[in-house]
Amino acid sequence: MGSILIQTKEITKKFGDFIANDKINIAVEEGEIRAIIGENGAGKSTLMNMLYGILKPTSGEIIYKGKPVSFESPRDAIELGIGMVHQHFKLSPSLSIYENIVLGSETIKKIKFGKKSFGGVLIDRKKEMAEIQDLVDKFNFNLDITAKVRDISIGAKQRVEILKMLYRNVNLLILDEPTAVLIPSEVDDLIQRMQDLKKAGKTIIIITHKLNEVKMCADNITVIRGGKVIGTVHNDDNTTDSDLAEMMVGRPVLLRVKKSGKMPGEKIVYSVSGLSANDFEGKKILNNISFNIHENEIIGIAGVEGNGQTDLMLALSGLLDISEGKVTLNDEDITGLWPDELRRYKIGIVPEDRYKQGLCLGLPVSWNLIAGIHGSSPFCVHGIMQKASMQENKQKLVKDFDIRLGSDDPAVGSLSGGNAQKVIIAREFSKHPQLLLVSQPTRGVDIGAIEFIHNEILRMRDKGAAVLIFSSELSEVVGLSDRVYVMYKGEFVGVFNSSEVSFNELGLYMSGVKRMTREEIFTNG
Amino acid sequence: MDLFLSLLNMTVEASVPYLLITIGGVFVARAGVFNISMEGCTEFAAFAGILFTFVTGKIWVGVISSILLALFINFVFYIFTVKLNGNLSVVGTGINLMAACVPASLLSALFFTRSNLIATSIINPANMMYDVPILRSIPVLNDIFNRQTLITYITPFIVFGLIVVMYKTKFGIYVRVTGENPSAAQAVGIKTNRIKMYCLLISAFTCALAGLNLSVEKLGMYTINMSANRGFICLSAINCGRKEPGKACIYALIFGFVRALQTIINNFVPVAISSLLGIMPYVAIIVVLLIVEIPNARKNHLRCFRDLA
Repeated sequence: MGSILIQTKEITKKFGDFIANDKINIAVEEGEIRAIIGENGAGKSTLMNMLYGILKPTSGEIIYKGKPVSFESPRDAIELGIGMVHQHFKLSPSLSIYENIVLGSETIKKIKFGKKSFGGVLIDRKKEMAEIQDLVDKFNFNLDITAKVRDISIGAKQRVEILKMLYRNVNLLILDEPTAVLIPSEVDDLIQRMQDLKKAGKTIIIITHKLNEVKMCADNITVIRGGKVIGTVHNDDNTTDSDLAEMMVGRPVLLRVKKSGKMPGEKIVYSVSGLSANDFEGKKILNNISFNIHENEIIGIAGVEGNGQTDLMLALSGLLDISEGKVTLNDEDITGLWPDELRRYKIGIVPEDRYKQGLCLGLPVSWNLIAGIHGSSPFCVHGIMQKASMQENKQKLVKDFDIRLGSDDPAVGSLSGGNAQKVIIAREFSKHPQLLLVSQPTRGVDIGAIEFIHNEILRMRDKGAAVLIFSSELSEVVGLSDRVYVMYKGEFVGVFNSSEVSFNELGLYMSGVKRMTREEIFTNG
Repeated sequence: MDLFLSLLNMTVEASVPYLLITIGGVFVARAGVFNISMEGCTEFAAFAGILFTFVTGKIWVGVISSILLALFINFVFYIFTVKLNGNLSVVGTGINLMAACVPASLLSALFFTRSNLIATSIINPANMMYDVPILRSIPVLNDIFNRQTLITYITPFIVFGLIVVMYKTKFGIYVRVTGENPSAAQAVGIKTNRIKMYCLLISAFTCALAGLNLSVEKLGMYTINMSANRGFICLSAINCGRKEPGKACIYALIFGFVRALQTIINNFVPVAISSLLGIMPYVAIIVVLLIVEIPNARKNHLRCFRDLA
């Protein structure tokens, strides 16, 4: 290991009276991969934003390569060789990959006039593309640099962000929750890339709360809780997931869900038969999907992202036209109903993207907690909103679902991922639904909240609800469900009893290597 | 046949202000600023061109002061909206309302008239048209393109040049990123406010040319409400063209054509109906958009906005 690359001394950040970072001392060596873990709101991002020049420390100092530094803006940090990839990508979708990478430092075509050359105005695309292609090849990033950013996967977008920093020659790369948005195969890919970058001499700080990934890639792990460093441990066999989880949360946590052992009932609550749907070009995106959910049963849908799970969720929650098929709830036909009509039946919907489909960011928590039932009594009488009953409802749900609000009734946009998700869970689960459609329930959510959300889902099941779960975390789908269907290219290709199937077996079906016939699925399902 | 040729000739003539206002406005729209005051800017430019020509007796003074005034107006817009975070519609409407009353008030104060200012003693509109020797010998093109004004001839170059700027230069990329994802631009040190200012100044310049074309070049006079909602129509052209300069200019040409058609039909219908014909550009845009968008809408199976799903 080399010398210390970056160090903070008693660094403190206050927002008003709130102390986000309290006298933090960390030191990261050159060429190491350091994980900084902690729950949402623990102060990880604040610390990194100070290292990257987005925030200015209230007191304390940052020492980079042995010299104290202070940054006015991220630009200063980049010039010194510190780069950061944010959780929310800062890319321009309509530009191509290479244009995004060189943004802000474009190469201008020289105009040749005899022997002299002048600075022109047109961009030298050829030269830029060659340069970026070299960079992509050097780090083996596997990207088509002329593709538009809006057309590429989230994993590829992240690689573009990393390349953007490498193009600017950074030594220290800070990755903020890099795996929160990735599918499992992309996560493996990212970890491999981090190892490669380490070999190339780069230092990496990764902020996360996913313990298994930390275990896979980090050299050292620093745990932060409540704005303070709890400790830094070396990543070896002596540090276990549950030790780290306990350091993060401050109490022992269950990393595995505990089922009650109650068996699914006989009565079919939700039945989907022969459901198909088409996309914009008229191509079939859902092909003859059939399944039943009984009472007290959770069905999981597994599959590599982009195999129709999103479309199935949209179709079932009334946001996509169904071309064929029938959907019934307690033998009542609810095929093709719109979301507001579905809400009249006791159906709870937890959408895939909580910020786009589930919440209204600018509105306070109390309003978000009644979304969907906002037009009916007691929240709305003769067209006038009843603030008192909204507040009462909010207070009850905030208590029941342990939603942590910074102030009395803040805008949902100011909450952490876990708390924002709890707002949706509270809203949907408190309606005592017969059917729950849940997609990505714990994406971007911290450990404490994951445990809570999993328990709530299981509690709904035990109370008699039929539950359908989509998740890109295979362990979540299998861990929670009673039966699991595998989706591949818009079809079901297998069905398994969750307690008997291995991840390897599921992987074969998810990647399309193996598949069951329609009859097998029907008889097993 | 003569009628058809003169329709095309008038289309060329009528399209010029639409094209100019649109191509400049595209930059502003692309930088993420919603500017409804192109109407007011054009009106002021048309007025200033004639006013200063008339007062000083020199056309070039009129032209330069008109451009300077337009730049000043959009700079004020920039200060109020981008710098001071004022509401875009309020500031834009303010400029438009001023454009509707300041010229009238100045005309009555200075020249005791409320309707127009005639500068034909200095500007002879007939002399403003250029007889291009090469075109003269080509039969059909001669009828359509020859004997137009100077700004008409430079407009294609401005349009083409600005399309190149948008897609082939650093500045163009910065404009697009500024509008699409300002935080992406700021993260690499692009000053988004400055980009917005440059876009507004470009738009001011093209609005000024459009105003000068209407008043100084074509008629040698200014009449109240000379821009006649062209600023608003170009706003629809920009948005119908999805803020793509090329597409937006095609819509601008459609508006120019409809405008010419309207002028010609005016000669054949009673006065009551000819007043009604003012709605033709709007009807045209609805028809065109229906034709373009219905096939798209039929293919859509999503019940929400695409970026939500």
